[in-house]
Amino acid sequence: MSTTHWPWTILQIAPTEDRKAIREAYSRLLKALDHEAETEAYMDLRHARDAALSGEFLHPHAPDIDEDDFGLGDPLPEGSEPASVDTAPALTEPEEKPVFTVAYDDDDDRRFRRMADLLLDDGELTPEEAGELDGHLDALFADERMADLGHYARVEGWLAELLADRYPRGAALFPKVAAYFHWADRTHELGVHPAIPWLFNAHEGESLLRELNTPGHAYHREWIELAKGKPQGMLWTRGIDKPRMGNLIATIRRDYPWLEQEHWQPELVARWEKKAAGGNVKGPGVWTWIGLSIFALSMLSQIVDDDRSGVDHNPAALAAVEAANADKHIASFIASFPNAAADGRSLETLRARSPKSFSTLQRSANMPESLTEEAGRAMMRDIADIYYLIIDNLPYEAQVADARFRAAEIGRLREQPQACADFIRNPRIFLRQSRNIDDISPDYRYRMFSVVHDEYDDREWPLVHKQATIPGDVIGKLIKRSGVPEQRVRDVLSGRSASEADICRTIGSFYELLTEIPAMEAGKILPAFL
Amino acid sequence: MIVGIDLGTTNSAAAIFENGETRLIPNALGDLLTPSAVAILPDGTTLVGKPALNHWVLKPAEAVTSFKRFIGTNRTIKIGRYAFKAEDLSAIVLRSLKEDIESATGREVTEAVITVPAYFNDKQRKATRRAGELAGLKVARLLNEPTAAALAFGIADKEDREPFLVFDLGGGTFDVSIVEMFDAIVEVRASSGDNRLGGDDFTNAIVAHWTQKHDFPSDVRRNLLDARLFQVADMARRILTDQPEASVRLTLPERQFDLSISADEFEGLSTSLLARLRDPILRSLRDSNLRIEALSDIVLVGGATRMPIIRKAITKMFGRFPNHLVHPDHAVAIGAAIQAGLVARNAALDEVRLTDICPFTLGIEVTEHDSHGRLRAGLFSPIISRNSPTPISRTNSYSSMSDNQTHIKLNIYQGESREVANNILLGTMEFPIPKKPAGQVSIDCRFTYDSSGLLDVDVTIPETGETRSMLIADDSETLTAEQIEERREQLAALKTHPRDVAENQYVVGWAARLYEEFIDERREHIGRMLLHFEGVLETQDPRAIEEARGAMTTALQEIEQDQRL
Repeated sequence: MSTTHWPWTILQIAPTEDRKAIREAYSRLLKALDHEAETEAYMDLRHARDAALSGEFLHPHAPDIDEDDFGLGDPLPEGSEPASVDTAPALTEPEEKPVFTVAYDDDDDRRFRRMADLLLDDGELTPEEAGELDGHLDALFADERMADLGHYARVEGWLAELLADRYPRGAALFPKVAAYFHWADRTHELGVHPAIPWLFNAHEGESLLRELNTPGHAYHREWIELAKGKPQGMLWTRGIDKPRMGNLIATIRRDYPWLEQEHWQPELVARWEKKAAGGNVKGPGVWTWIGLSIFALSMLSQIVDDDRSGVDHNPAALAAVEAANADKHIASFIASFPNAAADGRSLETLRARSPKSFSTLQRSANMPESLTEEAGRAMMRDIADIYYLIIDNLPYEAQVADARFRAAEIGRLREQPQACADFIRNPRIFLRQSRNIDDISPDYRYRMFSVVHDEYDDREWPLVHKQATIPGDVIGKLIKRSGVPEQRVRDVLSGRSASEADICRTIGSFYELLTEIPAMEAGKILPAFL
Repeated sequence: MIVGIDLGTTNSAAAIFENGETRLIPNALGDLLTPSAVAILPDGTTLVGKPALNHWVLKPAEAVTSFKRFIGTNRTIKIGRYAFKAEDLSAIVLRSLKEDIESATGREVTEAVITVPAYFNDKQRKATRRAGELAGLKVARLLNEPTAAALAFGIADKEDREPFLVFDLGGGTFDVSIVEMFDAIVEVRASSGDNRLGGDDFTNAIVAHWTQKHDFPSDVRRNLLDARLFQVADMARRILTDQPEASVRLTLPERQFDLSISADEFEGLSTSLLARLRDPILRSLRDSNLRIEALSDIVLVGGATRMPIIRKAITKMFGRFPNHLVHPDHAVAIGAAIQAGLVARNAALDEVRLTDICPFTLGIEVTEHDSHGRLRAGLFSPIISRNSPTPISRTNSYSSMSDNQTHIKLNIYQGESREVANNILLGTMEFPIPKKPAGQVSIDCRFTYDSSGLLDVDVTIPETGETRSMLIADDSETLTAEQIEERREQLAALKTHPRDVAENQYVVGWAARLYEEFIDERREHIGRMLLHFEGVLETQDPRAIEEARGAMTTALQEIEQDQRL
């Protein structure tokens, strides 16, 4: 489902008429390029900007300018005769009058005008209007003049423009028209009317919006959360899964940037991203919590009285049962590592050495007994989370060993450049999404667990300042090892835009190299990357 | 160090970008503008600039001016015993400028940004680049003159600017560009021009007028008459900038003519030239889809825009007064210096970007079937359309015309006409193709137009997989690196006066010219002054020489005023 919404994806803004916004986007991207060296990139950017400014990708053509002299006056002084111009090259080719190959009569004119009037109005189509338009369309399509190519092309272009002009007013008719003209097959052809791919995108966008807004949809709750703040009728947003939310945000960002800008609330999205990254988000205030807890306690008594399942609903007993469940999950999780017992790592040692991680695991393992796999995955995600949090502060031998593992992972992910690049850019976020953690090799998973088990104690974990320069000879080795040309390697290392495959190869080689560089140098360079 | 050089038809100038601003560099005589003139004395000494101009009036066979008009052609120009092409002469001027900068700043000049008219074609651009190499400079970029002026105009305050029009009327060329500025990005939207319209044409109009009115003697050597007539006509044209009437005296051996012209007469003479101003402007407006009201400014560049008839024509065409903020003679050199700063990635220009366009359509000659199935040859197939932003790279595919065709000959043209006969041929490329039935061999022709406006053509034959790169197959212009080095050394070997001597020699030359141009007692007076000055030179006392030179200069200036009656 990754359709492009050219030219807006290249400019990285939502479709807009605001010329200033378009130019600002162009300016930002141009200054990030060396436009004289990177010809292709500059051509794409410039082409996209000119197309965006022309307004054709929002609205059909503006009427042609009739005057042929743009107001330019005569340079000659008054009274002088225009002398014969000696070397004036012929500037304008003689215009050809359009010649129609079919005849149109008044009925046709009336029909075309009526259809244009109906479609170019504001608001929604009423059922009568829709029916009328349907009838007109049938008449048009059944007409035998459609066999003439000129007429066919003219009607196609005209219908495309009409539908695009006041979209979504004509949205209901779009499938019928698209089917008749076989637009689905031709949308990527050169020379097709630009409104056609636009219509497809818009149609898909509309249907996506409709789906997301329907309560039954899988991502409905997450969508409402992002678009409006809270689903109506809920007091607080429980049951919104951080990974699902992350997934939704990433997908929309990548494939539907215009949805992002028109329908999201940016503050809410920022909050969710912070939450997903594990930061602290200011939640409801103290008084809200007090009010909620009072309310909850009063509700609890009702629930407790409403005894149906036969289980003891005593809160303390409930907590104990849950804790027992959690401990069972944790124990089986640790047991899933074959070397854990041999290395002397168990539930007790974890509780003793790293109480913080133990309590984290307890929280995520808080699931019914049957869901072992789910619990295991959730716990592994948390372990990975903590691991990447603390790795910056561990001694360099640990970091170098980690680099070795990462290199292996990147090697395995090489076939999927997108995933590889995401893993490189932010392994924490990557591993929190869907089932990515399952793809990590068991050795690495055990490694993460061991490190967390051994190192994550009660001290303060400071933030590491990520600044370091890569010495030239390392870059040279990098270029040789990865096989990526120098300019692109520099782009990757300095964080400028680079293709996923490049990032994958460069950073993969970098991690491989790290294990070969003397410790002192590695210690200096590493912070830039972890 | 990298510098910016305005290599103009009439005058050249050089500037550098340092400490966040541009600075024009004076030449050995202390002037910011160096006339583009070269003279070679019988003993082989080469003069450049004002001394060369003086010598041209005295002995036109030993000097040449306005050679920019011939650059890019094979035309050889004879100077005394030597024969040069226009690019060699430009190289001599460039070398002199290079030495002036090195002496004024104390730093070595290795690279340069050289300006060319926006409407210069590929041959002319390549010749200009060769001229730079022959002068020992690496030409980092060729910059279009109106774009340079736009840079100078816009970078002054780095404010956003709605589209403005640059009207560049120089000595030999006319360029129009429409440029806008946004967020320190200078973007050219359209460019057009006329390579055969400049201040010199207006001067020639006066010459033609006088030739018709007066009976000039036919026994005077042709080039002497032409040179002297042109010189006084040029002087008259400049006088008409401030005064309603100009009167000058033409001095030929043993005869004198008093010539005059009024501003009204001049206006009448120039109507056909003025009419030619309109088309390039209209084309640029049409290409950028702007009405004149939408232009925020009209920027005048080039000495010829000082003429009142030009100012009037502009006011009439645009319905408003043009902008006088840039110095018409300096703007292009300043813009070139800014571009030099950009090439050197000077920190003060960090936010600035410049994007230019290709001002004409480039393509190849093709044969097509018309609607009746007949073959029509000599048609133009555009590959890069005009006003495409540069750098740009476009590929088109073509196929063979006849069965068992063994070669394809690619003619590369520049122009707007549907028929190649009306366009300019840039070069030819011929290469073998596999023998196949008609239409079965296809070639991919890729045109790359870089930001200097230089064209590269690559042809790939997908079947065989081979690729060929275009070298303009015009023999005299393909020089190998060794040949260029050889010629550069030849040019460098031309003798010039040592710098400390140049100023004195200039004054002597000037006096010599005036000596010839006057008769009666003023001539004697000049002769006496000259004798005295040469005596002072012999003493080799620097202070005395400087004083004498100053006095001589003042006296000569007064006498020159008298040449105008």
